[in-house]
Amino acid sequence: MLMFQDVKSRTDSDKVIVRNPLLGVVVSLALGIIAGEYCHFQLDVLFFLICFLLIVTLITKKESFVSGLILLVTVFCLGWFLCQAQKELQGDHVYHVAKYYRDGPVEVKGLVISNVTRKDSLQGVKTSFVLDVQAIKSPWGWHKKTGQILVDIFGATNINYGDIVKFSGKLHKPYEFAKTGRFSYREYLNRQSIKLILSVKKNAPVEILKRNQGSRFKANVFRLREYLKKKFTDNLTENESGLMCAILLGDRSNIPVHIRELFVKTGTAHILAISGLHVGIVAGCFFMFFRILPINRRCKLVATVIMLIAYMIVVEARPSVVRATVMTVTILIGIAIERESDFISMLSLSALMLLTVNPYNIFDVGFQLSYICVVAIFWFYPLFERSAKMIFADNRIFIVQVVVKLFCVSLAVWIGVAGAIAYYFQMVTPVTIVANILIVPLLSVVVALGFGMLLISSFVPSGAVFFAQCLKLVLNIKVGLIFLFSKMPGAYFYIERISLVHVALYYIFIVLLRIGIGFRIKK
Amino acid sequence: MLVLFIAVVFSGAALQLAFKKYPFLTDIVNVIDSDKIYPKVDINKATAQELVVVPYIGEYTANNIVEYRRKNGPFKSLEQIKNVKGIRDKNYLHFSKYLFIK
Repeated sequence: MLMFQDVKSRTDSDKVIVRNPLLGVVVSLALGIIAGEYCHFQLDVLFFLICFLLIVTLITKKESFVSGLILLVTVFCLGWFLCQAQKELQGDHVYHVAKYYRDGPVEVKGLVISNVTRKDSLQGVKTSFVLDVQAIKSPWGWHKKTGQILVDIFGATNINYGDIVKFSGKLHKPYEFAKTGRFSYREYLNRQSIKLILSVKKNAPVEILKRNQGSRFKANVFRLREYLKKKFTDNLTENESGLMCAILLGDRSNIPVHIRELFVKTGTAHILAISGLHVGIVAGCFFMFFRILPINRRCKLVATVIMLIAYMIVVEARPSVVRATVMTVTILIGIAIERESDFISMLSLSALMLLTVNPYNIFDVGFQLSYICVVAIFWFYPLFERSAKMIFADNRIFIVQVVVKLFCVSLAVWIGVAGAIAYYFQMVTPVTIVANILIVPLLSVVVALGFGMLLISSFVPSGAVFFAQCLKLVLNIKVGLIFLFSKMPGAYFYIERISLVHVALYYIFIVLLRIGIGFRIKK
Repeated sequence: MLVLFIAVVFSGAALQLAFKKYPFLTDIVNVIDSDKIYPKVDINKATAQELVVVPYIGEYTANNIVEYRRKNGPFKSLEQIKNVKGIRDKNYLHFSKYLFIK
């Protein structure tokens, strides 16, 4: 029960690491993964080292400090091992032979293992999906191959998840788009184990050999997601439904580019990615829905937990969603068993899960921003709130208190993510602090209305129009406000590229500042 | 919960009626679909870095636009941008709404 603790048992003198052993494990694992990314080491040597360290840990189990330390080193090596193992390719991986097909088209056969997206591009409709390669054709016939590749077909097709398909196209490495920022498309795909792209021309023959060969569970998840998306497209305009699909279903592919830019410029792009706020509101909606049913409180909480996990699966379980769901589920279980959940342990558990499933998640911008946000709120918010209480001590107006709290959260998040945003996007967005005060409450209304619309339209389709009208109004007000914020003088500015050293110095500075202020307050 | 539900249904019905009776309200409310929120860039003043930020314009096209402007002087009409190397009708349709000439 690392996640929960008795309130009375907490003392200020408890050390963070001792009280939260998971934190140490996560930090060691993360450091190991980073080491594995930059330093190469033989996989078998690492494996034997991990086994040896585990045996030593078991031998020294009586001396808790030494065995704890060795265990952390073991986890560090495990992180290193996981990272290296992710990089290793099988002997028959398609990547090994890709260089021989550089000059002409290659015929490939495989299973569609991802949702199929159809998007308007400069060349017309583009169909994209991930293909699990089964065979590749050479002048001497078909050869069995493995590995995953991204397929871009320039044209509309009726391919779906689980189909076994055959087509020919040009096999190449992902292109690097030399836009501003540090985002590397090639690295982004590499971290999902995709090293190659197959570009299929518009008129190239595409053959579907078999249907429904994938997992039935996954197929139903994709079907449900499409069904929910259709609910939005039926009741809202194209741009509005694109935004709602991003906010509630995690599909950001249909957000209009100029609207996405507005969100980025005002530092409110977090609204377009499902995070703690969204999951919290969705949990509230589910709980309110279950309140109608004649079941006891514990059952309602359990039902909410089940529905939240289902929601996480439907919206593609991205790092920020997993983090938020793990934390919300832990809090709900804590309420059900009447125990207080421990924040650091919750955060560590979610990070541990994400890093174990895919060690490369640590390099994902979404993962980093999500954790920085939460840590910044946890660490800075109490400090700002205390200062605000001193300034507004006599103010008893509810609205003022809410605005002050929102300002404190917004400021905490901005301080936290400013370094990462400046590093990845070469932007500083001071307007975020003010924008969030208005945008976050509106987002809560948008999520609740959107969720209500999905529920109502599933049971009473004609009733969805009432929710849709309210949703349209609030959503447009929200975008209108973001547009106005982006026009404010000094709202945002671009900066020159900064190095990792600058970012590290920034974070060291704010950590030292926070510790210093903390000490002064204690005194 | 029931109160909230009734409030949403009532507001939704009122909005639906208002939008039908007064169509101009739809234009006022519909910010997301309006072209007023397109971030527009002056094609005769923008640098290559500013042009790269425009959706559908990459570094290559941005440099070509700046180079064309340097050689031929300022653009007289937006359509003239189609003469820039690498810009076709299709691309023009996508990014012309983000550009303007003062």
